[in-house]
Amino acid sequence: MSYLPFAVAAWICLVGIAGIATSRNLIHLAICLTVTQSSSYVLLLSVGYVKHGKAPIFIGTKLGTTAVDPVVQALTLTDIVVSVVVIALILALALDAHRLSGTVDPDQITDIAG
Amino acid sequence: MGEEFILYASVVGVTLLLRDETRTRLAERRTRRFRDDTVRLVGVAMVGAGLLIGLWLMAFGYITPGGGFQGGVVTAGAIVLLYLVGNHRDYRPFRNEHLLDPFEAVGAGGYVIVGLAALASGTAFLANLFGLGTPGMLRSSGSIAILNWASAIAVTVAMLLLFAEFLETYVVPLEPEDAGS
Amino acid sequence: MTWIPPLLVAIPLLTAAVTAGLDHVTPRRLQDAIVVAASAATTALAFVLLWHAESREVVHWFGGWQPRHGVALGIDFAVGPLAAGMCAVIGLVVTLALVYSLTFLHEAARLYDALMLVALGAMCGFAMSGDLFNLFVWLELMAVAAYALTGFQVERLGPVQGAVNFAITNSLGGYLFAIGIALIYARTGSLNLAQIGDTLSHGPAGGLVIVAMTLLFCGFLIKGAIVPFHLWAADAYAVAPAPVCAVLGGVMTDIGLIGVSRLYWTVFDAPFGQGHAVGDVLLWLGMVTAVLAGTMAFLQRHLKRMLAYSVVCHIGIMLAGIGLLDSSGLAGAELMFLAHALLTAGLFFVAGILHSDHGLIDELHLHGRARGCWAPAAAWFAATIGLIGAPYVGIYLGHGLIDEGATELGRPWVLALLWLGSALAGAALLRAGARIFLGWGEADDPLLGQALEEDPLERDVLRPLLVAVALAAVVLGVAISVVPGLGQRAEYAADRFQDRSGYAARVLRGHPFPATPSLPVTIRHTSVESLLYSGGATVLACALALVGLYRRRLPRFVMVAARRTLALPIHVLREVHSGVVGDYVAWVTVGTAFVGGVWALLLHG
Repeated sequence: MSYLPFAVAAWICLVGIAGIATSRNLIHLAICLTVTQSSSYVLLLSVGYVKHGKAPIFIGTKLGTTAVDPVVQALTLTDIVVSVVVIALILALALDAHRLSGTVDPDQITDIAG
Repeated sequence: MGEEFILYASVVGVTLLLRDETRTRLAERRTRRFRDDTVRLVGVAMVGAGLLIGLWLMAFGYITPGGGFQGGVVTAGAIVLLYLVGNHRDYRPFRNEHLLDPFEAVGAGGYVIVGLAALASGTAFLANLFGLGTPGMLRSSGSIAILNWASAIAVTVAMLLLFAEFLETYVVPLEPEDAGS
Repeated sequence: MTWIPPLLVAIPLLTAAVTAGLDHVTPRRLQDAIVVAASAATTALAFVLLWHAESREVVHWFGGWQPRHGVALGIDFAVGPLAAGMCAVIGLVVTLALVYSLTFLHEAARLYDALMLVALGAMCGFAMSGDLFNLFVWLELMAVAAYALTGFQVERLGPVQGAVNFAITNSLGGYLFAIGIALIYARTGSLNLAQIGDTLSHGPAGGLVIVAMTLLFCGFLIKGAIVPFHLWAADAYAVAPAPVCAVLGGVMTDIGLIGVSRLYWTVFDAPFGQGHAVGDVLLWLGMVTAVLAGTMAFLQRHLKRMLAYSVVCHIGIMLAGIGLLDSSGLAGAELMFLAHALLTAGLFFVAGILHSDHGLIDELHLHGRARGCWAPAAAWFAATIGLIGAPYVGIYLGHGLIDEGATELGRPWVLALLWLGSALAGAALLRAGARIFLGWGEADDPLLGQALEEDPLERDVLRPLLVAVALAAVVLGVAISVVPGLGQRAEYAADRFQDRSGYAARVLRGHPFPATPSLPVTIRHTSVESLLYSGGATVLACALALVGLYRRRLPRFVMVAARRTLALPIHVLREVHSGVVGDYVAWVTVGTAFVGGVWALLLHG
């Protein structure tokens, strides 16, 4: 069994988190968050993959043909929706931050601390 | 249904975050019409093609890969392309929140109403209400067809509303040569 | 009665969609009325559901997809008395917050109401759901609504910062949760909680399940603001409007713990329930959270930030109760949740009243200004005493049950630490109350750090309504310990919640429920130790509050010694809570790795 998809998913996740932790720009941070999220898509799809499985469209196929798992595809789609939504909110907040303080650097926006 | 409302909540949230009650009284923003005819021609063709593909994805969402969300995003993308290749007047109907809000409500609320209708008829929430039809035909899969269209409308309008909200914050100074366009 | 669970979600969501969509068409007062009515209706239905869930597990399979041959095909809402009780309290707090907001907030009312209702529906869905991915969807939905509501006051930078920190940290938590779901699905092929539990109960659980458990739990613990994932909470609560804070701090953060309990007792009890490893880590996290957050609360001068740390402290106590893995511990956490939700909401409401009266929310700036405001003062002090857990007030019964659980398991030192945390947070609130309402204490205190920027917006509010809502919340919260029969019912609900195989049988195979024992309707007794600890904590809180108020009058040698020992830890704590989201994410990663590492060591092999 190939470990490559799982290694890729783990790598993407860690790279994304490293990006978020060291980011100096809110928009870059939002993109890093998307990257982290995409690691879960890779993981989900590789979990659902069946070797030599067909696409899960069952009209006109015989009973017993192997097909890839459609459940994980639905999960991935929902994940993507969630990611889009969070990006929209963070970008709106970045716009607000720029309007109020002229910067989108999270290190500079520290009105509240301690 | 939860997913649908996540998108809905984000639209409401972005509207909330980007509201600025003083700014709405500023003058209407103008945008320059794109000058390059080739780009405009290709763009307009893409708008048409994008709309068709989006509608096809939406309509056949429960038969082939596609569906409300994917179709909605492609359709919204095609409409937003109008903004890029046209000018503000072409795009204005799609920025009208008063027009778009009810559609969003219909899309999101429609999902819940279908579910409640099933509940009211004695079966479980979101149980099938209509005949299942033949697989592979457009008139099949019962309630899922309606839910598919509800989510497609909701997603398209949500994307347009998001874009409209972000546009509102972007002020472009009026150029003298565009005063007439 | 199985038609009630989906209604608890459908009514708020539909109302949110309809009122926001028809915003420009209907008059404002009518919309306000519809919104409050929807929230009240949801609460009422939740109470009805609670009454029915006592005698059976109310299971609703969406779309009519009943399980076949014991295999779950669809998504279900499986409601026991604990889940129904949570929904009822959530509905109650949201309804109170909506009534409060009717006059407290004036702009963007429809958008605000829509988001609050969406949050209500999502929280109820989360409490009731029996499907792992469904939990994720409701988690994200309530989170999205919360991020936007936190950033409500977009005219200032503070709310933007708070909302950004909140959004990024919690989204990361959600994504970790999604990865955990993928791993569990890979291992068991199912998303239904009962089904997963059944599958995992056969055979040993491998490292994959441990990793999945770490990710799933850490996702919820980030939402539940447990150390070291708690850093976003103070930033977010400091800037959200008071009614939003009441909902966030009172119920939404606690819901992370409901998720942890549900996951543990339906899924992970099967493979890991023999030892205490899973619970012990949760217990320690809870205790560290309680003490650390209590200390941080004492170091604050911004009222809402102080309340945020108090919330985190009590959540730590609740997690410790859950981590005992014992039915008294869980019942205690349940009762604490009930009292804590209402009392914290009441405190945030009072903070909102102070803010609208004086335009200030800083303890030192408000020094003595609210002298003579009897009703808010009474609410504040009553709620604080309730949160400390003075005998038979507020969270006392819940805390007492946790104490019993800890003693039964032979860990009496847990009691000392938990009561200490509660005393610290309570001391901070008492000190603030004394300073503001009684004018005691010095006017300046450098221990409390720099003042945060104030939002001087004067609002035109209907003050009696605000006061009435605050008093209502506090009175209900304080009375929780003395409601006859509530303690026994909480224990019964906890027992049912912990019975994994019974849950699986009822959900998957439709077994009927055995007869409910009839429960007495008396006030539950607690142990003598709890009474002693509780009295001690109250005294300690008062003493610490006085120290906080009159610190400079202590003898010199005490002050010098204290400065030598405490200055560095306090400085380090302040630095860690830096307000920079990159740091928070780093802590989240470190925390997840640490928790995962400990579980891997303890559970593997």
